[in-house]
Amino acid sequence: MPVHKASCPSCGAPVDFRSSAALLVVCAHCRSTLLRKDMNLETIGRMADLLKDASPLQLGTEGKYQGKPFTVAGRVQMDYGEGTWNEWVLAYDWEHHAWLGEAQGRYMVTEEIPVKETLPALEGLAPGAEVVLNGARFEVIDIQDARCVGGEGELPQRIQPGFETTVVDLACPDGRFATLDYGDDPPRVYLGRQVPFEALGFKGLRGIEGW
Amino acid sequence: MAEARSFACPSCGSALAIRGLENTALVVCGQCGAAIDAKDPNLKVLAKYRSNAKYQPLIPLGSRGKLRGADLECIGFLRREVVIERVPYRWSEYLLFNPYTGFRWLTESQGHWALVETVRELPQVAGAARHGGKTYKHFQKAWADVVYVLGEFPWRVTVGEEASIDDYVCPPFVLSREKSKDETVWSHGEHLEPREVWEGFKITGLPPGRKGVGACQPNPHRGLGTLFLVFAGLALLVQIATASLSQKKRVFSGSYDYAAQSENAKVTEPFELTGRTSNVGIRISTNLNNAWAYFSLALINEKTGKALDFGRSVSYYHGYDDGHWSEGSARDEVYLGNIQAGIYSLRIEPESDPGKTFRYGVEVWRDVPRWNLFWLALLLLALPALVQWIRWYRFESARWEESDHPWGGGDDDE
Repeated sequence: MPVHKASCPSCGAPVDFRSSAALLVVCAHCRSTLLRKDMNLETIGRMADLLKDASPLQLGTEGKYQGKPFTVAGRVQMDYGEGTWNEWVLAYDWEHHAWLGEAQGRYMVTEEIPVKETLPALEGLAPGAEVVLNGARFEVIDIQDARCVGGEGELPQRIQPGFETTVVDLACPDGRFATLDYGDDPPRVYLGRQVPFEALGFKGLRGIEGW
Repeated sequence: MAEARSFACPSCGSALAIRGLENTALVVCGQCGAAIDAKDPNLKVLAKYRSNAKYQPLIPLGSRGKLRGADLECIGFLRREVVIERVPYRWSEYLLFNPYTGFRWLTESQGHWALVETVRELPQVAGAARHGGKTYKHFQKAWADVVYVLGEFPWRVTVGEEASIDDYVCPPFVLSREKSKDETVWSHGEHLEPREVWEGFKITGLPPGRKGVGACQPNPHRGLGTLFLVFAGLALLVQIATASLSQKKRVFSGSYDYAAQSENAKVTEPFELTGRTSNVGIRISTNLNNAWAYFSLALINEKTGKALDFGRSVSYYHGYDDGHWSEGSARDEVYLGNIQAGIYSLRIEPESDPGKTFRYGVEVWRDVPRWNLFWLALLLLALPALVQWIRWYRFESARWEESDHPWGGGDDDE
């Protein structure tokens, strides 16, 4: 796992990107959004500031999911009006990645998957409705309008701060969770599970004063 | 203690704290009832609720405790209400926070406590609900209103907020589905003893007394059924072992005629009783038909001459009026216990109505396994199990009395 060392084309600060899946890197120093083109970085804008939140995670936090160690390489912060949640990028051995949805002490590990079915239109969905993903029946448990606040670290896809989307959370009796992101057409589908905090074996968490 | 962001209530100036970090979306002032938007930099007042605190939370806001191994800080308090057949029922919900593991609810209803968290796996519902390998029976469906709010919440809770709640129970657990207009939330709770809450939060004084049986309160009257089976099994093993060691040997058999006029006293040939001191069975069979006989008997020890006297009556009557009837039996069986080994004989002297004749046979059996003690033991063992079962049943019917499906109410279980 080679660490690619580069410097920020905007401010010259050193930028490390280690994940081969990273497409975008946010300069930790000047918050320039850098698009990766092979070994070169190209500034495409400046990333909006993230909102302060209560997350105990931070870039570099390590953990384990289903026996595989990961490092938190990046995050996207979303705002749903009454608060924010994070989608952390979990880099496994710096080649594969998963997403860790995190809000209010709840953790959901998902990976983007292709689905055979044509997904229903957002207008037809309500809590309790059924959605079939690759033959498995899921139930809609939550529909949330959200706005992308911004991101940090290494990201596997381009994000647009301020971009508004609607996400639909689905659950299946076998314990799987799925999220449909209607910000793209067709919607992106993320499949995974909600995982108890203790099961993720975090190391290098952000300290929370008083706790 | 926790780091708390503090500010003055924009409505009444009281000092308020935010303990739920950036999760907090709403703070309701305990002094004036102002509902403050915690996400708004100007701390906008969204609503104003009753100024007089009508309910005093039993667990003070801001206190930190430990429940089931988790550190939790009490940050919010709700009173909720359901109306069932025009009768309002109210309960309390305490919002507990931990920055790593998130939120829990501690609910209190009529002195019954439960620690609740949202579920990770969607339960399957088909009448009953299945979750984590357990089956939860439907308990109650109701529309719940929020009637009182205090402290902080991660969403903008409002007084009057409505949700439909379905509770399913598998004591000591409860599974609830709350449906509001944009969300379905499943949560899983576990019964807590009031003492656990009081010790966990180091609250002085006594918790409020419990009324009735809680929906997910474990039934304390249990376990004797298994215990009964264990002891009954042991008794059976002892019985079988004893029976297998028994000789069950016929040592004498003879048959005689009875005629009223002749000398009817008979003394049998001597027979030998062997082995351990045990019982002797005397079986009498007759051809009595609508007649009776009385047998005076004596088991005589040939060596000592000692006689063990006893009497048996045998009668058998039958007939036909309004159907066939019969009474008694033409046979009899009796066991004499504690008979030592030795040479014995049996003296038999029957009596009957004058002029009667009949034929009878006598058999003497040595060391016959007996089941009467076993049945008695079983009965004695069954009694406490039965008493316990009645207690268990009464507890369960008290629980279900409060549900949509009272026992014996003719209401099917969906």
